[in-house]
Amino acid sequence: MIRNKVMRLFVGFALGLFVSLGVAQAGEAIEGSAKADKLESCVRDTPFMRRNHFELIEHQRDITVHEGIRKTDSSIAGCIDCHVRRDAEGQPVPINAPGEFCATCHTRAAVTLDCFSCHATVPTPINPAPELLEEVKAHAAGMDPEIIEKAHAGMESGSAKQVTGN
Amino acid sequence: MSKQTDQGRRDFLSRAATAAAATTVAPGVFLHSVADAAPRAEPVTSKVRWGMLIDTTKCADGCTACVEACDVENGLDLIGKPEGASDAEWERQRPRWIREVKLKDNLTDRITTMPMLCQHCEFPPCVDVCPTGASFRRADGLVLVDRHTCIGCRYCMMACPYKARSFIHENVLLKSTAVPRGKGCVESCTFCVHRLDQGETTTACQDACSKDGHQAIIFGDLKDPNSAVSQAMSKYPTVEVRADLKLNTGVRYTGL
Repeated sequence: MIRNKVMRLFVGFALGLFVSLGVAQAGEAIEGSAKADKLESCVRDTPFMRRNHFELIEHQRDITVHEGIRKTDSSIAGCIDCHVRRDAEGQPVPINAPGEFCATCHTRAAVTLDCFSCHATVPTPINPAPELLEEVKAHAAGMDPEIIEKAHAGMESGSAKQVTGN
Repeated sequence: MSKQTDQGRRDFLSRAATAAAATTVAPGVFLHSVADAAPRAEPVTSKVRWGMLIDTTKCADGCTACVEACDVENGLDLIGKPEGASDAEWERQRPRWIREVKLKDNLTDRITTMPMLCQHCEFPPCVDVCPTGASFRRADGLVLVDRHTCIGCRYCMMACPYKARSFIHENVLLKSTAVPRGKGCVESCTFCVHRLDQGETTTACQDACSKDGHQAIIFGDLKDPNSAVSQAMSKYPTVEVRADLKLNTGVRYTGL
């Protein structure tokens, strides 16, 4: 009887795993797909990073903005580049999306982040290829495709070329 | 084992490269004329002052190459028109780092077109009025906004005689890694600081202007007597816009 139950549980679990793998869709991050997942530790040891990562980033932001130093191991762009996970299509999943690297702890610790009201949540090059641009747009954090559609339409109607000053 | 050997060699090479760089840099002459395409590791210094010379006689009427290049480079084309805003309203308020300006001499009817952008003043009024210190002048002459401390009061926009600054009114749909941007902050031309800090020495507008064959924009280091911009300035008569304000602008014009 018990054995039967265990067996059923096991089969159920295996099936569940299979199904969840089968339906890993666009927009759903794949476990272990971040660069950071393949590394032993971050730029400092893990306990230090857990407690002090914000000190590093905040210090660096002043140095970068005011002194122009970009060669660093503690830039926010570096955090995102390394910790962002990819979905089944290889597209980066926004780092502040529910369940992703930044969001996981901050949600639990009830920390409200302001980084991503300005900073990109996925590595975004200048001049992204049009198709990439579309992909990134489609993956934008929690963004309703309809809203994107709307914003896009607004962009087109609003992009008069000539600006004449006074 | 072979990995370790490689590592040793790499260390040696990197040390050798550093030594070579140090000897080259020592006289201080080559510091700003050599463009090494690597991220900046040392703080910017006042040994460099970035500046621009715009030849309005070469600036073609109706050409908006620099404006469009700036929009793409800095993600300004990704900012959508707010819902309900009229086109006129949008044109007046949309973020723009370069504007195409037309001047008409009423006596002679001569029309001049010129790009107007942040003039990167030595004594910037926007910095004077900023209540939080967000608007600042970097050691190498760039006038920038530290958006971490900008509270969006827009005093700087009022103070700027060149109407060079823009305000971001709405949430930004797509942000680029190099040019972060968010609702509620003021911004203006940065002389493509993300390029300069990577060791590049051109701006997007300059590249676009050259590509179109106009060559109206020359960008470079004003303190380097051998730079293209210094050479051109020593040859041609140049003016500052609103020179009466004595701001010592980093952008100068010829043919005005």
